[in-house]
Amino acid sequence: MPKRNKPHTELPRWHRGRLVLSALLLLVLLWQWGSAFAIEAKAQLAQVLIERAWQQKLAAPTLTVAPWPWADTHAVGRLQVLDASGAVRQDLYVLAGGHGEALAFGPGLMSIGGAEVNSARVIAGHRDTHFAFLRELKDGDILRWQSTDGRWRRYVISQQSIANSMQDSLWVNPEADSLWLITCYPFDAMRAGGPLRYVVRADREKVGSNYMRNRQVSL
Amino acid sequence: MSYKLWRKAEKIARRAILSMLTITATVVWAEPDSGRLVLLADDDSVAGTTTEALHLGTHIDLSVQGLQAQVLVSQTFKNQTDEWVSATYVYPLAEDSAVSRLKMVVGERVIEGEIQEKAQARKTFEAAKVAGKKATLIEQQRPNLFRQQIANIAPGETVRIDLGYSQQVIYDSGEFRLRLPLTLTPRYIPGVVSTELEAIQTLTTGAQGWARATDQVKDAASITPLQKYAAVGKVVNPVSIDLKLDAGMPLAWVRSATHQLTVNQPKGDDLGKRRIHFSQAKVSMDRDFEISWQPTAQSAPVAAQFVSEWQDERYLQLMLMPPREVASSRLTPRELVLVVDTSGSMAGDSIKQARASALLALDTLTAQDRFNVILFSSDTRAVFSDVVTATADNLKVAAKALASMQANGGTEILPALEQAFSYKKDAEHLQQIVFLTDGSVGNEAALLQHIHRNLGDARLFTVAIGSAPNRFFMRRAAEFGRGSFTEIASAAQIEQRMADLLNKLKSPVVTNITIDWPQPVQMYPRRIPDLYWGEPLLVTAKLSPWPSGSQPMITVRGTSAGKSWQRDLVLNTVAGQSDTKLLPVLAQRFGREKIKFLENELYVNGRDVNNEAQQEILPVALKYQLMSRYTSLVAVDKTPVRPAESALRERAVSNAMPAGATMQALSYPQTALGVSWHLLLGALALLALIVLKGMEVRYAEA
Repeated sequence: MPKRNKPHTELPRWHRGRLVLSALLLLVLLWQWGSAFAIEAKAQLAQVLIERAWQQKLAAPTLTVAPWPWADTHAVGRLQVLDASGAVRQDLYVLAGGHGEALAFGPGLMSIGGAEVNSARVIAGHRDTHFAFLRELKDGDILRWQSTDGRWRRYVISQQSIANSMQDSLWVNPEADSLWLITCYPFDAMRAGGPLRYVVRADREKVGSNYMRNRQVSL
Repeated sequence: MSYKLWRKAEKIARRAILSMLTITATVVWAEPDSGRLVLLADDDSVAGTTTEALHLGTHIDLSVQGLQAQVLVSQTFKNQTDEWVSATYVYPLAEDSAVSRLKMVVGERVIEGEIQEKAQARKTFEAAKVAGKKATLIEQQRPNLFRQQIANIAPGETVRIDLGYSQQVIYDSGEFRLRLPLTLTPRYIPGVVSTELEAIQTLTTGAQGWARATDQVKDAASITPLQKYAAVGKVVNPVSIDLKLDAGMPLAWVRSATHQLTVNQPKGDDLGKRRIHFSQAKVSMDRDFEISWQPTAQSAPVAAQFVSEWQDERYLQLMLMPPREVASSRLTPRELVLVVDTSGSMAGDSIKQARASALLALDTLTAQDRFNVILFSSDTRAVFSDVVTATADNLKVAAKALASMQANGGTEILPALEQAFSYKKDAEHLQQIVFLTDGSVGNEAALLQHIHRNLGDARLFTVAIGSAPNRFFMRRAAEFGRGSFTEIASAAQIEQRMADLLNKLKSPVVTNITIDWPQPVQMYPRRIPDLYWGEPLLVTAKLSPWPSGSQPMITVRGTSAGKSWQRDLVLNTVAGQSDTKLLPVLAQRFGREKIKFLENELYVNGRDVNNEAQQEILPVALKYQLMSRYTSLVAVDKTPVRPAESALRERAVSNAMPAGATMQALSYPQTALGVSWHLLLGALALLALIVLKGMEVRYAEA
């Protein structure tokens, strides 16, 4: 039994178990962080692809342009957040439908009856990707919405509220020209699937004399 | 071999751990609070409303005598939470309701409410609310919309609010009709949201509605309660009814287009009495309740008088049927403008009813008539650029437009009316505007003023569509437009009611009506409007008592079918010498009509110049103990009940959505992927790896 005298040829059994455990943990680590990364990557990459589709759509509004060949959704609008100086702080392409698959690629415009030009629009987005910025919005901030006709409309944030999705439904007056942004709440919650929702409401901006004057200056 | 493999694995693991550590550190520094745990004690402290926090049950006791209906509405609020609650409930009543009594019942205790000047009432209520006393405040937002607040309802407690009012029975086209609004169609709030106004709004307490104050509708938040759909087979806001009908004449039939009724004829009583309930014990408050009855052919009323006495003054209501002949020989050619509401609130049954009604109206046009159709929602779309001759081709074009119209968008009535009033009328045409809408807007006052100013020689006929239209606006618009008001509550009524309307459209039956009184009198309406087919003359008056032996005579004059028409009537004496201290219904009716007249002046002027309207309306409201825009009902229990340390929550009671409407209640989507969760699990795995690593080190040292 000379082999037995060499202590380094074989690791002790517990040591071997430790290695297996380490490998498993590493796997979990890679898997979890990998999924987190994949979610982010998907969210970011899709927006780039959708941007291309959106430009084509604006050029030919009657066509339904799929952002990628197997996409089951299409862009219906573009949402921008402006800061005080008028610079674009956020720029997002909004997809049709508020269902899970579409939301992974971009915020989704929920369907509320007709697609009237001057009507309420309810847009849902994930709090951990596209709509993470919602927490920074405050009353008076300006949103811009571009619909398929290419026209931009300005909206002023008028209300932020938190609702319990188990108890209420979101009550929207479909006739009011307004934007409703919805995401999950709390923003820092660990798990997905909580009942609370964060709702930001923005109303169509009044084209006041001040604004018109500013516009004339810029023209 | 296996040893080498294990060693290699260990090496890789070590490196991986090291790199992961670095990444973690970066992530943690980049997002310092990404791992913060948020605990929420109470979810709905932040939520706008809770649907089931307060349960509402309603029972209505109705007693109809002649032309007055006395209504006692008992609302039961049950606090189903374990907190002290302040409830806000916005509800409609009939637009001509004379609201005068409030009773708050808590267990055995009964607290009577009283009429107070609006600001005073609010002060009384606020003081009681802060002191922890049970209190109720009812304020008028519109003549047909009231906002009620109940402060300090204990956990699990039930509070009953009894509200007493009277309303006028309508007699039109040979049938009597009574309509009780039980819910409202969500109002469209035109205008631009104004933040300055909201500073004023915050003074109003109670839960706020979904709309925000705009430059056109300043009290938007107070007239837009949350509403919920009745799920199939479920009763939302249950209501039961007990109606004692004493028509005063033998009845041919009693029926309701909105609800299934059980009608009993009490034995031994005369043929004009009925006892009526809903067929089901409880129904949802998701539509107005309309009941109509018709006297037998030989007993149809020709004239009726009601007299009562109060504080040495006599109050009189007079109803008179004018002749029915229409001068058929010279029917004037008409210029008919149909204005149809295609806004979002019309979606569902309403738009179908509007379409069917509009098509019926087009059917009656002859080749000498002219017409146009205006569809409106957020924008106004006229089918023809101007009024056109009613040729078969033109009618076909209009019918096609009506068939393809969709309910969508806002309710911008003003531009549509502007368009309708803009058509130039020539001398030989009778200009008529038929306006089909649910009238669910918040800017009634501005619209009434517009109608008053721009009517000219045109006549405006309003047709109220849907389960819960804004009758205040619709009836008042028809009065301002010197036309008539028609209401269609269900598809089954379209044909009958539109046939009545088309009869009315032919021409007024009686014009230039005046009444000669034997003594000085205050009478409302002050100027008697032209009467259309099937409409009675109805006036409410106050005059000093006449000697019991005398038989004062009044004379009603008018022009009918080109000839002058005259009727003489002997005034009745007071029927029963009842308790003259008690405020009789007729006196309150007179007060209500007077307030209505003064309010109309306010709408005509557009604003209250020097508070004149307030100075005139307030004494009337206080004298007749009536709720008005300047007076509120308030009831306060004397003893505080809420312990000072318990907080008070504001809760809103939701109304039911009108049946057949398709408003938008969205369920929230799932809007998180749990990226943090993935990161956390990964971090945990990392942590375990580090721990394992540490154990290895210790082992090596050992």
